[in-house]
Amino acid sequence: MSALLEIDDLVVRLPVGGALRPVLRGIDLRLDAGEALGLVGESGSGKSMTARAIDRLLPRGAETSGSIRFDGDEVTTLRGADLRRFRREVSMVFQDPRSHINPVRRIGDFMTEAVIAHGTMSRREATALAIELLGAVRITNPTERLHRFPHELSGGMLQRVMIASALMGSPRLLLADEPTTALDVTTQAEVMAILDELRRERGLAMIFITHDLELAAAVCDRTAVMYAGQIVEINTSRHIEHDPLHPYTSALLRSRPRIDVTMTRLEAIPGQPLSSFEAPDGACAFAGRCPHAADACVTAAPPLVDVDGGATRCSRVDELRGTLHGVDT
Amino acid sequence: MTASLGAVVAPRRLARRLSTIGPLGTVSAIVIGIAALIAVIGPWITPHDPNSTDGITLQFQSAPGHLFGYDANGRDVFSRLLAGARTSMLGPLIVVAASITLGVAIAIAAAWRGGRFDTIVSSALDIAFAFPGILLAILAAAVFGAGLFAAVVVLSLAYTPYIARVVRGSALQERSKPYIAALEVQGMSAWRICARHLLPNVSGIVVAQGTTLFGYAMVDLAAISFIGLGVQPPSADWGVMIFENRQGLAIGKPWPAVLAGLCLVGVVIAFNILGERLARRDAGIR
Repeated sequence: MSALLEIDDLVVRLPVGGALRPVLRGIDLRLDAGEALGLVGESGSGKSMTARAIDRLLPRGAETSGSIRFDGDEVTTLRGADLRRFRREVSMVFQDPRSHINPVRRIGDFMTEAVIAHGTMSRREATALAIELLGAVRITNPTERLHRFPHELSGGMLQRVMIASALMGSPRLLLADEPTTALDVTTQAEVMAILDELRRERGLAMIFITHDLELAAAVCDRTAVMYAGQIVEINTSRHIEHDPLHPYTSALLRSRPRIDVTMTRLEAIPGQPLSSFEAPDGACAFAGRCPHAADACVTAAPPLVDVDGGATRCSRVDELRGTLHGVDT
Repeated sequence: MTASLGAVVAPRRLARRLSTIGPLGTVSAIVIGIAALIAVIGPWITPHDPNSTDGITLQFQSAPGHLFGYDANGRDVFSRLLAGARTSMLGPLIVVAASITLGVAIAIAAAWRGGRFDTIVSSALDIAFAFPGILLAILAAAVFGAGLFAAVVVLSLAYTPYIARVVRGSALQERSKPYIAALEVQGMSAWRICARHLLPNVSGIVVAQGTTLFGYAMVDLAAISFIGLGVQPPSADWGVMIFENRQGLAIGKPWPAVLAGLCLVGVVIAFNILGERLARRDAGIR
């Protein structure tokens, strides 16, 4: 398979307090057509920023270096009509649908405006497709919903509208930025199932951003774990879940609540997550919180090395292999 | 907004809309409505020819059939008040329409582009603020000759920063909202996002600011007409009427000038109050 998306040494700096601070410190990613990749990490680890960098939605004043290629074409330098054409190939589903839809426009307008404006469809065709897609995301009375305003729909319903809308332009890549985080648990499962099903049906590639490692592993072919603006481990979801190679991945897996084991207290990772611009230069960013930290971890920043079909960013990977715990099977 | 006063809107819906601007705002809206109506039909319902000097021997006198008597030139005061509504309100209307068009375009361009462009535009607006519109209008009259046209053009330019500054602030805030980003990633053009999404969502503040400026423009144009550089006599205009009948103030016959002044002040206050209420409502929605 040929790579749909290739990211090489992506560095993004944002102006914070007058200085440019790095929020992404060298991201390398490769995504094949139709593949789903999970991007997991704590708040501020840079997962959303990665998606925003791909879709060129960075805050004003952001500075980008490195390269992002979509279908072989560099996208970091696209402008004007070329940028708009690229963006039609990539759809985004946001965490909070309510704030991402113009509150004074009807659902039908929201869904059809872009494709009509691009001239790819007539109003009638667009409306028919919108009704079909609303049905596909299991919204009842789709025809009637087109005339509703966003405030008349619940959060879960609105997120399904957002997903349907993301599919309107037949994109090839879907960037789903915590699409279920703002929803309640039962709705989450339903929305996730719909998203997963529609993506598979359409052979759509997806970058799924979440802080829920297990959820990412469940719906994605591969999963990347981010920490302080870097990818610390990437591998097949199965491998990540059962055989983590990075102490951070293992710590994340162990800190989730379980119903099959009685625990007095949830395991937590000690310390605070580091924002990427606080990360030390010549050391592992996770060293301060890592139970396995050794001298080697604070004297040199570990590179991302290929291991077991994936890659991990840990100086002690050879010593720790096999000792870290994942999800028991 | 445009449909709110039309007959298509059910009375209950109209009442609900009016309730958002309070009783004083409602009274102001009614005053403006009546003034606007007179501006449209005024010249056709005058009981006498507003330019006929039939009563030239009866200056400042009352006479049967003449509600407010004769003015300094023996013309029917009531007829001139009715006919004057149109010239007095047409000028401000054009000023407001022109400065809104220009101001909104500048503001949205600045808010959208941001960066250095925004900085330059904002500084230019701050400089433009420093020029008093009425002095520029006098200067323009000196260059291009007296008349309503020159005054309207100059005031339109002078008022543009008042619209642009307020709308820029609002548009900047709107620009940073997530739904705008969501439209951008759909590959929609900046032009379309601005026209179809940004503009409608800042229209509340545009209407509020435009309403307030209407009052200011009305005073400025009346003042320019009063000093003889705007509407030219014998055209009926409230500012011109104050000028024409100023001797009456000295000889104990102030009514023609005072009535014209009251019309002017009443309408201007109504515009100010309504503008302020609309702005407050807009702030409340946000």
